[in-house]
Amino acid sequence: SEEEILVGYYCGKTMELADLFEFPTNVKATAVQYLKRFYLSNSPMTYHPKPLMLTSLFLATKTENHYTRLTAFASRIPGKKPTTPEDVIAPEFLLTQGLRFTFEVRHPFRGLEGGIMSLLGLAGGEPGAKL
Amino acid sequence: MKDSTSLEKAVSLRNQCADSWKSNQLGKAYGVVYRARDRNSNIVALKQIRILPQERQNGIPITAIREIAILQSLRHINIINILDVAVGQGSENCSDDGSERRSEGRGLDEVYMVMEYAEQVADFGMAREYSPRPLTPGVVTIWYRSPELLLGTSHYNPSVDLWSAGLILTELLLCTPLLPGDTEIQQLALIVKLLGTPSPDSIAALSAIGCPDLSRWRREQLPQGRVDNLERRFLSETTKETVRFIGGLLKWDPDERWTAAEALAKGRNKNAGEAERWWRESPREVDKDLLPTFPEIRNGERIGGEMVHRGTDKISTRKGKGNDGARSAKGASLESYVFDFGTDQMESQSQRVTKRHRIR
Repeated sequence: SEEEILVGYYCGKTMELADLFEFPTNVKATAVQYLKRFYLSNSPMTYHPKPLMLTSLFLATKTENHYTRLTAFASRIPGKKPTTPEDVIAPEFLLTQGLRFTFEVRHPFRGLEGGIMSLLGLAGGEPGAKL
Repeated sequence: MKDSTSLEKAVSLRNQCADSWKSNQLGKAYGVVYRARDRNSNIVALKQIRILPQERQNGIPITAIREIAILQSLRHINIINILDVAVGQGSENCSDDGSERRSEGRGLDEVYMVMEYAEQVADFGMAREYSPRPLTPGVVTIWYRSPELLLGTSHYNPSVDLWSAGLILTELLLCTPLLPGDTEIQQLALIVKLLGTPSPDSIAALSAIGCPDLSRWRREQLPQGRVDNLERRFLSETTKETVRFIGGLLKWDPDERWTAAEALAKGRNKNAGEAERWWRESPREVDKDLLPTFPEIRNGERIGGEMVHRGTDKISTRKGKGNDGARSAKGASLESYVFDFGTDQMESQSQRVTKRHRIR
């Protein structure tokens, strides 16, 4: 539906924003997941995804152990009008409730990294390396 | 998933306990834990996370988020399961500017974690996922802080927990904390008194991980030529294998300290072998279900029957006192009572403790 397309667009935007901040992959992916999860039970007609995109990215830095100061985060957000720290955290409570406090997102990245490492070990002829 | 409204009753119970809640302000920094009954009459534990205004500048504090996220991600028989998270609103503390704030939609003064009611590890208030980023040295109650933390390093690893585990084992043997220091320097002095002066190798190892306070401490405070008293201190209490086990965990050099796997006798190296001898020794470990339980401790009254365990009497009188206080404070009609880990400990150790260290 159109709502899905809109959320999808902002998921893409979240990833661009995360790249701008040079956040690690897990922060980026978690922020996207938060946004998607939030709109499982809410409609973008009620809550516009744009402010929530910032909040979910900021929340992801907190849950994924990549601490960033709120003021520093807000000041680096591009846009015609500067973003204030309050803009970022205003929907935070709404978001955490929409997520029902399930902050944990299980990503395949860590396992993937381990798989690549054992493949490299195997290719390098490391003794005892196995898949 | 249980919906949060099942907590209404529990939360209102909390409000009925307002008097004892006030007297429990001591445990404020720790979060207060309540026993409550949910809508399906299951007994649950409620842990209150208070969010203080000064912690708001970064939104929901990262420690609260971490605690919830980490508890959710862990599934283990010895770790409590978090059933739900609920949000309470306002309290007498906010009543001066109270309800207005609520209507602002920022009613995030209290978050409750609903947990199974069981004897399991539940406090992850200071936990974070391990990563090689620099970490804060000011963690852990000072009594259980390992030497490298006391010396201010920010590059430590899980071996700090093995140090704490060793001290907890000694505490179980002695029924009293082994090294109750008041300041970092005093704590280090107590460690020297117990383990002797660290060897040059250990000092080199500590300086290699960048302990900023090491050189000053060596120059000003470190006594020379103290001997290791661990064996003398504990041989009267316990067996030689236990002393060796404790000694393996209480090592100055974090790399020399046994790892968790070694302490569990997993693996084939020398340390694991020594640990295995301890695990093999009598009394052997017992399945959790076969352990004696002491419901009278929780209920604050004796159900009868003999006390089996040697240490039980001590514990039950100690805990009983704490419960009686809470009970009388709020009358007998309520089934649930307030307990507070902070006060409980304070009471049992009131002679020793002047203040508790916990840096947020």
